[in-house]
Amino acid sequence: MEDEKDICSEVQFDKMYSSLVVSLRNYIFFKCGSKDRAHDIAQEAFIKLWQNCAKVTPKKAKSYVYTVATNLFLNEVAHQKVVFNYRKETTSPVNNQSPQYLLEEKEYGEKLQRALSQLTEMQRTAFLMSRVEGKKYREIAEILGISEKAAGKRISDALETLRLHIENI
Amino acid sequence: MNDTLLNKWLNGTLSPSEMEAMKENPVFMEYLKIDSFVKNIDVPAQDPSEGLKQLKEKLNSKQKTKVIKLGVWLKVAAAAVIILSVGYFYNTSLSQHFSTELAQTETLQLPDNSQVILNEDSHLSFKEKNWKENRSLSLDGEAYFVVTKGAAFAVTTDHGIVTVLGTKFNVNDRNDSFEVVCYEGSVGVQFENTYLVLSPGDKAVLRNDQLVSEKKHTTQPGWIHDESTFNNKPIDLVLQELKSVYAINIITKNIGVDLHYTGSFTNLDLELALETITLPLGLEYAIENKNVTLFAKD
Repeated sequence: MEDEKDICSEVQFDKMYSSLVVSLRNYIFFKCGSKDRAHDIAQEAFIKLWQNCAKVTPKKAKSYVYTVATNLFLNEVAHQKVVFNYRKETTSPVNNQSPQYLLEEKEYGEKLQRALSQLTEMQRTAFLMSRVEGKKYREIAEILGISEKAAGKRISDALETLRLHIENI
Repeated sequence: MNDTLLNKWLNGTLSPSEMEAMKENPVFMEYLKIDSFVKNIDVPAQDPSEGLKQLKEKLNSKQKTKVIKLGVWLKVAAAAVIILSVGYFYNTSLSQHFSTELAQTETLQLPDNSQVILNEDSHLSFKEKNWKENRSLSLDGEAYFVVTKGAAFAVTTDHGIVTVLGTKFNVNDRNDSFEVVCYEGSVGVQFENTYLVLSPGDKAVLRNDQLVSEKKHTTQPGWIHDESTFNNKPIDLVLQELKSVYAINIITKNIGVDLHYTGSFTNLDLELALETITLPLGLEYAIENKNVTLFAKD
């Protein structure tokens, strides 16, 4: 019972926010490819959580904000093409690569960009949560509300789809 | 491809020896490459604190206002308070204006203890209301600013906008000339599409409608010490300044318009000032009441 008061206490809410927001933001970002929208939707989801703090138990808070964020995302019309950019640093630890090699790497990056945008949103989200954030199957399954086996299938299918796309482009 | 091992890898539970075995498979090598690229995707900020701050601000502004019922006397009192405060806000939301005449300077204290020294024949205005949040004022003429730290401080002139955070700088916006000198901190100057950031010792000056940055080696503008300072300036600009400092008429005879002057003249003694200008340029002068004539030596 004590639990129910918990999210309404500011300290508890702040803790909840700090532990969840980065992942939640990434989750929406993987769906839509826009940092700004991901930020806005994550903020909106936490505002809803605060307004309903008395009704949501701390245990449910995580799935609550993910559900709210997913709905907010789905309510938005006109999903644009999803394009992810890479961070500026080079992928390789060695800097003095030949121009030829660097050009090939750049082209590979662009191919992968296109391949990612062609994945289904469900595949892409699961795949990027696993690869970029290093989340385990169990956590991804929990967030998406599917079985661990289904999560693994989505991720490995996505990987194979990407590989075939890159080969064929 | 072995699905069990693949899933182990994806789930982060693959052992190093299993990894070596997997690397025999060229398809897995492609997977590894995809993986290394994907890990480099530019993701949103990883720090929750900024977002939390924004969220708090948003929540605070959303808090509902409550309706309270008031007794008659409370209503009267409330009305009085409202009238008084409307008067107060009306007063403080009006602009404050300060002007100086020829040959007069004025030192002003702004609500945040920033200091402005207004040079002669200049005009400055600002709004006292919300000064802490919105430190902006407009200037026509010349002024020296010592700005305390705080929100952005903006000086708007006919030619451009000067913004700073906390620093000392001088703005001169007379007729066609526009010159900003930074003495401490850093100053941003906006003119049309050009934006310059000045460090201490830099100045931004308008030349042929272009804002350019130059070096200046003083720690305070000369006019603060009742001096006018020039660095390779055309003679007519120098005479204009002399004219406004001493409120005199100047007549020139046989003086080349391309003469340039570098130096300072005092704002306290007209004859001394005339000496300092004419001597290095090889000119002579004559004073007759409020009329001064400058002419070339034979």
